Amino acid sequence: MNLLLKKEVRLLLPSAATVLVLAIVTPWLGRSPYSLFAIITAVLFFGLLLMATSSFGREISAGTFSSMLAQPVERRRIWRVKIGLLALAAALIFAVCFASCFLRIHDYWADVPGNTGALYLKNNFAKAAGTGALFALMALSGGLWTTLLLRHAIASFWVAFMVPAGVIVLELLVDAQLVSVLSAIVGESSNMPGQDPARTVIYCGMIALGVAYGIAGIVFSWRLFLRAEDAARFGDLFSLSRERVSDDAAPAKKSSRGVRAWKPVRALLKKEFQLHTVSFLFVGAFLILHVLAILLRSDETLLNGFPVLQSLVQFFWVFWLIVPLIIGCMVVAEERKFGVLENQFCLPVTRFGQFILKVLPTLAFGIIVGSVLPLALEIAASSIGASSSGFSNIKNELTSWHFIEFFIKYVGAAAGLALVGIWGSTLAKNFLQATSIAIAGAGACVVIGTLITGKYMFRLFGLGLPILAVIVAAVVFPWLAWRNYKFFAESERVWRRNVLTFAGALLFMFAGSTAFYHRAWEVFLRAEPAHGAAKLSLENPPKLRGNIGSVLQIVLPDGRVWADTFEEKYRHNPRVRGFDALWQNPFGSLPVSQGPQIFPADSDLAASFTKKTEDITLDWIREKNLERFAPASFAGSIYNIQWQGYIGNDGSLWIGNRFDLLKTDSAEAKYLQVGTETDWLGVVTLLQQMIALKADGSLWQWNFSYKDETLEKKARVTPARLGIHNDWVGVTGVQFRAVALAADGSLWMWPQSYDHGPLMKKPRKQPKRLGNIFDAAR
Amino acid sequence: MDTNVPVIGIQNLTRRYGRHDAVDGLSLTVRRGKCYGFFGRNGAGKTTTIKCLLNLLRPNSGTVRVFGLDPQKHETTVKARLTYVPDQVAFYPWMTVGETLEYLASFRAHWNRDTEADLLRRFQLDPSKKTQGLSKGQRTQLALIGAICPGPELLVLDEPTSGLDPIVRREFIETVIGAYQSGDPEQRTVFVSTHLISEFEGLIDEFTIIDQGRELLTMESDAARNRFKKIRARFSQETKLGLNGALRVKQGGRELEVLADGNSDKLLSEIKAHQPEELKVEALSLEEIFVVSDVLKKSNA
Repeated sequence: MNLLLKKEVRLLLPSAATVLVLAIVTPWLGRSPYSLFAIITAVLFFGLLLMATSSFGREISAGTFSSMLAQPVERRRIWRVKIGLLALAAALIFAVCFASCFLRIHDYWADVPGNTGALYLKNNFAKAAGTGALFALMALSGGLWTTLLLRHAIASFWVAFMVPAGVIVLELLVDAQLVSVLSAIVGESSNMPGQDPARTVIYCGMIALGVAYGIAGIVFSWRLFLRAEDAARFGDLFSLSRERVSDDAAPAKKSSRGVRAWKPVRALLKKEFQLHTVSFLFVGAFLILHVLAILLRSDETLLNGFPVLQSLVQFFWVFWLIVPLIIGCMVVAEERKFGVLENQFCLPVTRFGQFILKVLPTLAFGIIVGSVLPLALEIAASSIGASSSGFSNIKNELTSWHFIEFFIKYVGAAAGLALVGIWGSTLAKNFLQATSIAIAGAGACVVIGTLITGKYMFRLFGLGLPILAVIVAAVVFPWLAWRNYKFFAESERVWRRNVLTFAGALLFMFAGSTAFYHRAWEVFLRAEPAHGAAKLSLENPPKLRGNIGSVLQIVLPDGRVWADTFEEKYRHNPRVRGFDALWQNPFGSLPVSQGPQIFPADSDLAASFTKKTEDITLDWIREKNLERFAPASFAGSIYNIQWQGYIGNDGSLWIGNRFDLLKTDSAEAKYLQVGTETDWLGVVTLLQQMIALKADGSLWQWNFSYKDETLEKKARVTPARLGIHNDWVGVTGVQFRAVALAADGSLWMWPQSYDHGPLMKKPRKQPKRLGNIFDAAR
Repeated sequence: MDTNVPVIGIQNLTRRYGRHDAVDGLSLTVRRGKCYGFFGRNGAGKTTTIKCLLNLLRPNSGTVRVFGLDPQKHETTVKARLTYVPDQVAFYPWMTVGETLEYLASFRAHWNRDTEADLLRRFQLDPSKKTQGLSKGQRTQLALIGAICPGPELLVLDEPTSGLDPIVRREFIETVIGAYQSGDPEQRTVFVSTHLISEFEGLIDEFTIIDQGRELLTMESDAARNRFKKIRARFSQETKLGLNGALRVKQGGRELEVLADGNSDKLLSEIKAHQPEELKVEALSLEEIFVVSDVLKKSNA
């Protein structure tokens, strides 16, 4: 490969690769692609701006610009190679980006062709691609001319963003006036461009303006490059704090010999302030743009038919999040570029002190400018009736938890981006490098964040993973930034440390949350304790009945009845409490007595329970025409309204939808056999579980996921052994939890699938011993 | 303050970049009140050693002490007592000369305004000028002012005169360094790494020459001048001499030049035996010693 071309490829590769990955991945982030076009246009604009700035900016930052000009190569040739490569990379990224968008839209609405959202996006795809191309052209052009004119990466970045944004916003504001005038001339018509001649003319004018800006910028850059000299026009001189040194104030006359001038904190803070001067200047300009965007919003019809511009104006406040990233990226990288970092470290101030005095002002500035300021503007906008669609009721919701939660997240995002920027800055030798690294880092965080909060990952790791990820990120980025800053000269070690730390952090996040979610410590807990001597057997088993409320009743083989109640407040620590239900009506609640009790077989109450319950069950079976199933099956059927498990009269296990209350009467009842075994004795159906008792005294559990929505899929699920014992004599459910009775009379309860607080842990695997039913007899 | 503690003490310092040993088992001691020369060819490991002294790089092995303290553990204490002028001088581009000096003064407990004003005048630096507009030499001058005004106990200079014009260079070496050290000759120490050895000839008390990260020669300047001699002789006719033990022998026609390493008397008597028309013995300059150190290295090998 031509060496000049090879050098250009190497120069452009980091930023181009970062933008390419973002262009592919961005459409797939987020739950729905409704705001896709606006987001992708913003990503394309800033990505291509970064690339365009890198093309000459990295040469200027590295100090190779002058030596490049000094080579015996025609400048036109250098320009052709640079711009040709840049255009090629931009075209590739643009094509890949919109191909990714197309696939995303197609994928999201593949099953719902009539969806209006899909139609809207599909109809506007060509228009969005056109707008994207226009923004891409403006980004490339702006990045080139500003870099060559200003020779200052950060100023170039800001100016290249501000100028086209300002032109568009101002142009739209002028349009608002012109539309009314032209509409009056050509007559009343629709708001949609293409139907309204006045609007069409104006919008065509706007596109022409954008194209003209793009082309003029490239021509201007070309002229700047051909006439470029080895002298910066503005260089790095962007500073507000300039002390005039007059003769009177000259150091020579200022003081006497040996003056104490110890004020390091003030000096360092002042220096940081001066470092960020360029950002202060452009934040002011950004503020004006935001105000103009709010004014544009006040005319709701102005941007109808222009989905991208509409979304950009509506969500203009989001762009403020760029500020913390940019100021973070400057903070160390710019000092390295100036070559002053070594000198700084030779000052008698601790490195940690210097680091803190860098990070804290940057964080504070990032949070205030990146989140507090735009929110304050949006609150003001809301009060004049120009709310963003993201803040429709912001004025009324200021004290609501919803708003506070949003505010915390938004401030967190601004702080996070500032931290990622600072981290990127400690790894880079100049601002552009830092920006590429920080964007890659932030992008990786977003991708990982999207993945780990996705439904598949969530089921593996629980809520612990996203929480742990936020904590890990909040620790790892500042820690790495500090270590990188402290040992900045040792680049090989620094990069190795960063790679290993991130790998370790990911491993820790996944392993830690997996272990926590799946209760790894239970491996070290003792197995289920041994049961006592058998007092019951499967030859003559007791009958168990629980209900959806809180009643558990057991009819012993000798006719006695044991009964007790579980109260909702003991959900996580159920214990035997009051006797407030009787078994004459499994759906009702009945009189209370204190604690679990066994009623004698000859008592009226016990006879009444047994007889009434059996009668009710048998009547019900006959009524529903379910004679092929054993009455014992129905003990747990009431726990699920969509599907239930049954034991056939031959001992087979079935699953059916006869009780599906969501189906209409015309819905056909369906029953499917589960497995081929015919030695099942009892079954209980919970919300997402089915637990059955086998003739050998073992318990088996079916766990159904959200994917097993049909009976056919449920019937194919492989069961797992529940517990370790073979002396179970009955199983039922109370309050959606499985309760089994062991031969020694002990009652055991397994938690249900969502018995794990805020989704941090799965339910415990081991059952909880509730007590022994024969203890109540004493 | 313990005046017996060496200002700089380096023992078996090793610092690697990947597989390359930039400094390999270097040891040296700099005593208080001395001007110490640290010489070596490009890439010999001088700047790496200085960066290890300042905790800008961490050694792979060996110990480094400045004022008897570990610069890694007592970074601020050490740096409060020294100043450093790097080979590549840089300043914040938005600051003026005056602001830069104010900025540097902010970190010092002591700052000599008189010296500052005097040096600004000598170097003809405009305090209101932006540092970005300074030439390389002017930036070096500004860095030197910033390093001398605090009156540090140790002044570490890495190629301080590169970029300075001959007039300023002489001014700097004779006046600035000389004045700095003479201000408190018992306490103030200069550690200077340079290629322009001849410029520092009169100031250097002791020196170390390093090559490929290893110490080649450490001596006091006076002892070195006594040890290394140059003997020049002219004979009436072309004479072939078999001079064993000479560091280098250069013979062209009737002219003979011999470099002696501690054995000048022996060589001199051998030359005299051939009755030269003219005989001259002179001490080698430090620069010449540096140049012949390459020969020393080969002879040691």
